[in-house]
Amino acid sequence: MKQKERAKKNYFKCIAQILFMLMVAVIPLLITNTYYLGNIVLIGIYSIVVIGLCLLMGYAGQVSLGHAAFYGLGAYGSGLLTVNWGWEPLPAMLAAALITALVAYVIGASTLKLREHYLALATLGAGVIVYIFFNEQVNLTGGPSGFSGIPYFTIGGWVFSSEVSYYYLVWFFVFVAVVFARNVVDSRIGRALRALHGSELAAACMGVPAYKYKIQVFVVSAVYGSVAGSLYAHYVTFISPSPFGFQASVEFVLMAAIGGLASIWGPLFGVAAVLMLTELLRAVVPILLPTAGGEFEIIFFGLILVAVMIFMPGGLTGGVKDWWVRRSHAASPGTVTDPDKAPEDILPSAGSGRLSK
Amino acid sequence: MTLLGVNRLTRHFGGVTAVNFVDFHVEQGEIVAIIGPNGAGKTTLFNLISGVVSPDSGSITYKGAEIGGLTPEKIAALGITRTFQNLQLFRNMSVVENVMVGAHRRGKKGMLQAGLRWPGVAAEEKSIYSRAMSSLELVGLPGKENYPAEVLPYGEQRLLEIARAMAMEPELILLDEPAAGMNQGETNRLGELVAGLPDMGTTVLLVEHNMEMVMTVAHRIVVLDHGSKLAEGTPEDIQNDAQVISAYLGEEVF
Repeated sequence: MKQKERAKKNYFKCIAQILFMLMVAVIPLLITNTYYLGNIVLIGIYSIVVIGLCLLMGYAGQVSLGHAAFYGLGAYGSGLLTVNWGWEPLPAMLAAALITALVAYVIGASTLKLREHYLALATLGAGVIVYIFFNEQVNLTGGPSGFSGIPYFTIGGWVFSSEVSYYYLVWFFVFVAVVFARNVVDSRIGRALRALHGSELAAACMGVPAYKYKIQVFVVSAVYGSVAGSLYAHYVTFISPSPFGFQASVEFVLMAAIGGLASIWGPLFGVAAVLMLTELLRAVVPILLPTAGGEFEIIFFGLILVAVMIFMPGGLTGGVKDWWVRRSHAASPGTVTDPDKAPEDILPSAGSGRLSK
Repeated sequence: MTLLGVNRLTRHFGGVTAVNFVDFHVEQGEIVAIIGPNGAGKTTLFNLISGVVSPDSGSITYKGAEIGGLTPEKIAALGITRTFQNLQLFRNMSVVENVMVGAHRRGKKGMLQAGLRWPGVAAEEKSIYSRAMSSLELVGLPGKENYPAEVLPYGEQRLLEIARAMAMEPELILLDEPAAGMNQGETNRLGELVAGLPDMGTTVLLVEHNMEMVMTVAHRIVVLDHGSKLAEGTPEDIQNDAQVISAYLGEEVF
């Protein structure tokens, strides 16, 4: 019976993955407009950042308000290594990821021992420092005007210069990102991270090394950002500091929250929802409010974030899941899942300070 | 062999001395119960042994080595684990997942290996799962492994705590009021379960208010009152100790 249930669950997972791959494969055949395809490439790139962020926020209970910095380190690392030192894109991407991992380790090692949202503040600060570095190190980074001439991505002589080939490259990385994240979540490490959420005290008494895992997941999530940044740099072939500032960090958090934190598919929906809403706002708001400035976006997203937190604390994926559970619950009253249980801690402090009691 | 030695252990909270110069020891294979009125310092004693709080003075030795002041995680690595009086289940996880966290230390594969599904990861997951399932069977919760932990009735949540702790295959388990909130039948079955633990290689240190269960399963009893040790002995000794009776038990208990 239980074995059957598990098998059924795995079966659905398999089907979902195959459907996802098929969808990704046929999209370029249906959408030939390069503007739309370019947007889907961007959705893929942002999704990689946000999947990493969800691992950190949804499973380690920590918030990073500086993920754009890791994203930027990847982009600048790849850009500088390929343009100034003539590296191949793939080794440059790996080197940038390694540098980012080191930076994340230093930030995490000094702050993850502290409780509550110190990591959020530390990453906020680190993000600002990295942003200033991009702006001020004019000789290295080109300063506020950035630098161009970043080559197309190549793997062993194969050049990803067309929109469609880049689309497949990016979505291949998205797929790897999803599979890696899902594997971590479904492992003893993922369970241990979720356990820390439930009761850090009990997890410690079972021998779960909380600090070590939190650092590891933080570093992994920073590397996700870095890889996405590298892909971005080789896609637009020009980078300047502006896409890597504080606002970008907040947008990543927003995308993660809207998609649903403790979910691996959530990021894809969150990113797509936020990007589509942005496009919609840009088209609609000037018609309704001709005098409105750029701030309306921020205000609007602020409202959405508040609404999601109140009405759909599990994000889009959590909301749909809840609705599904409630529906099947109504169909068979014998089920044990409590539909009224709200996932109370969507932005939880992993510690809740229980150990100090 | 002396497994656990507690010597002149003291811990203050502000002006209150929660544990005051307490001495006792636990032999391998024993079931030792700690009893005493509320506020006697039983839970603080457990918190000290499991590393949740550090001692102010005195020592705690495990197999002869000092463990006082180590983190809970290091103490767990030595083979000591515990359950909690105020349940500390992972409410966001299923029953079997809770127990699988107890078997966490059976695995050795890290995050990268898990993410890449390195060879050996699947086998490790399987062994953790089967360890968890046999632990659930041990406490008598089969067939409920996929329930969310929080929907279990209270008594079963207590059993789940024990299953989770036993999945670690500990050498010493600290049970903090495991029978609290259980009915008579559940308490009887719990007593049988606890009595069988030493045969599985697990020594038991038990805090419990249910005197019938304590007197049935414990080999030795330590009585605490106001943070200090009042008496120590076999269940018969304790039941006949005038001091204990006046401080705590009262005649009507028996």
